[in-house]
Amino acid sequence: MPENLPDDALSEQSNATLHIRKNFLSLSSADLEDARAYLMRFARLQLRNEAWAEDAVAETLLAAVQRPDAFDGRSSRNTWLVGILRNKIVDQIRLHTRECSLATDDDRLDIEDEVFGADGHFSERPSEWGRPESELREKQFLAVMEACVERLPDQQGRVFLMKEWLELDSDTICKEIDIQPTNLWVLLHRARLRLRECLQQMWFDPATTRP
Amino acid sequence: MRWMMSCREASRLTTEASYRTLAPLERGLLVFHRSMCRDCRRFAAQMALLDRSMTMWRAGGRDENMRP
Repeated sequence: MPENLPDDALSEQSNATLHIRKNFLSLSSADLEDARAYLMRFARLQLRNEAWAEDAVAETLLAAVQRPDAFDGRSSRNTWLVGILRNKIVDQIRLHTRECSLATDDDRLDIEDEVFGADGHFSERPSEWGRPESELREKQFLAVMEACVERLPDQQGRVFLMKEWLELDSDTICKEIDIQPTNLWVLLHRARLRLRECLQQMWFDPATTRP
Repeated sequence: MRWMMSCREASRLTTEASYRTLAPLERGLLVFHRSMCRDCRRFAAQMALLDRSMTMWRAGGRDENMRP
């Protein structure tokens, strides 16, 4: 707590924090359902298993209700909950390591054979994606990207999100889902190639109608 | 690794560069390849856009107002 603040200001600050915590505790069931739905989107995307996602979200909400003091009101309530959810998702991945390391048929399909010809050149020349600044300003673009992430094969999607969304380091990911670093690079590469293909079709291809 | 790699190899190094530090030889070969290959320069630009959009998407998870 800053030392140079007068007593009144300090008291005002603690009252504000207390008010925020009280507000959190007084969540209605509708608020809880909203928060649950919001968290389920993230959990489903990452875990790709409804039961695991339900468990992660239930544990998140339980942790939040048990430790409301941890909410300092500096971020929004949902942002705080997502922070807890990240840890609960990692717990679920640890709990289901074996299933997470199993590759599906889609994971085995080599996207590289589609993108590159036998001579190692691009089968279809990469197109100009325009000015990133103007594209990224659009929330719609992020919505399309999220839809593309959802379409990734299970193992590729999980590994990609462990790296990109949970921001786990490579050693941790390899350990958690029991794969070698070379396999990790291949999975991440394939995930990116698939995302690129999906974004090309759903956003950048002028022949496609934007959502 | 040959001094002139294929686009397939170059694309793999390009995506790996988002996640690990490339060895000096790998970096040199990639720079050389890109200097002569427009397709791979475009691919690198696409990956850079993907990186920036992932950063925004991650930020969206921390700030719900930025969520789509």
